[in-house]
This record gives sequence, structure tokens and C-alpha cells, in this order.
Amino acid sequence: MKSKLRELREAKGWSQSDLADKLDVSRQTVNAIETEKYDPSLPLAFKAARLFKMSIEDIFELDGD
Amino acid sequence: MLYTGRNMNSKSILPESAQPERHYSFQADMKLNVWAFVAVALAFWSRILLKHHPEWNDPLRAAVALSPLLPSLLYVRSVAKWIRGMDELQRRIQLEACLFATVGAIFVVTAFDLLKAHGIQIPRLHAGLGWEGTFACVVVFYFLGSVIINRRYK
Repeated sequence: MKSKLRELREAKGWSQSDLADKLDVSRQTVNAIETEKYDPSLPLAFKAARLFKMSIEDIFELDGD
Repeated sequence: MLYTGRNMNSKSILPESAQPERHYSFQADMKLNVWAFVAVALAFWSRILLKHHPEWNDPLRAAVALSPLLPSLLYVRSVAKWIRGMDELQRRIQLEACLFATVGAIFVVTAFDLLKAHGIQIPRLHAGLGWEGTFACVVVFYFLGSVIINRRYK
């Protein structure tokens, strides 16, 4: 799954740790999502979407879509 | 990197640069693993007791022989609680490591049984792996699995 999390985070000037704290996950999770090694759960995707005031589809995109 | 119960379940609100370096915590690991130590101690203790008291009746022998099972169940409960408190990626890593450990241990136990069934004796292990050997296999494969799977998400 492709993710725009890194761009959105950097646009806000947040570190991976800052975003991890806001999403209540570990920094390793944020890094794994940004590097597309891990697909977030639906609740975590909703949390990220709410944090950036966007829809899930605007942040995450399925490969091949 | 292998995680202890403490550093997997407690997230500091401080940015990482401001956090003190995380150290191994004996207290946190004991809190998680105390029932495993009790189970292993009881397993050795019951073996010695049963060896030295062959005159005991069967119900008493059974109670002593099965005594490690209760702390083992309590250990499984504390591990389940520890895994539930994790971050979702860490939970996946630990569950995959547990699966790796289970499959690895089954593989080794099956290999020993196959060798035994065909009359091939392994020095010092001719009676099979036993309870302690199987447990040691699970532990070794769990740590190996944790390292391999953690590396995948780095």
C-alpha cells in the first residue's frame, strides 16, 4: 500500500516520534508505514486521516489502483 | 533488537531525542516471566521429589507431576496480556515470532521422533527431547524469529 504519511508529516514539521505520539504507536510503526513495509490497521488509518483532516484514500492508496 | 516487557508497552510522551537511553529492566522482565521461572523450578523440583519418593500413591504423584502446569497457564496469561498491550506492529512481530517458534519446535520434535522411530540414537538424547528440551527449542526459535521478523520492519 502506498502512503503519503511521510510527505504530510514533513509538511507539518513533525518528526516520526512526534507523529508516533499523536497516533499512539511506536516510532518503528510510523517508519514501517512510511517505508511501505507495513500496512496500518483500519483504526490506525482512521486515526491518521482524522489527524491530518483528510480521508483515508487521500493518505493511503492500494497498489495497482 | 529484542524488546523487554517494559520498553514495548510504555511509550514516553517525550520526543525520542529527549528520552533517556532505554536499558534492560530486570524488574520488568521478571514481572512478565516470573511464572515461567516458577514452572521450570516446579518441573525440576517435582522430578527430584518423584524420584526420591516412589512409595507415594498415584493421586499424590500425579499432583506433583502436574504441578508445573498451573504456573505455565499463568505465564501464558501474562504473555497474552503483554501482547494485548503492544503497539499493533509489535503485536504482529511477536505473534509471527510465536508462530515461528511453534513451527520450529514442532519441526525439531518431529525430527527427533523420526530418528528415534528408525532406531537412530542421538548421543545423550536417546530418550527424546523431553519437556525441558522442547521448551528450550521454543525459546531458541522465538528469539531467532524475533530477530528475523524485527529486521523485516526496520
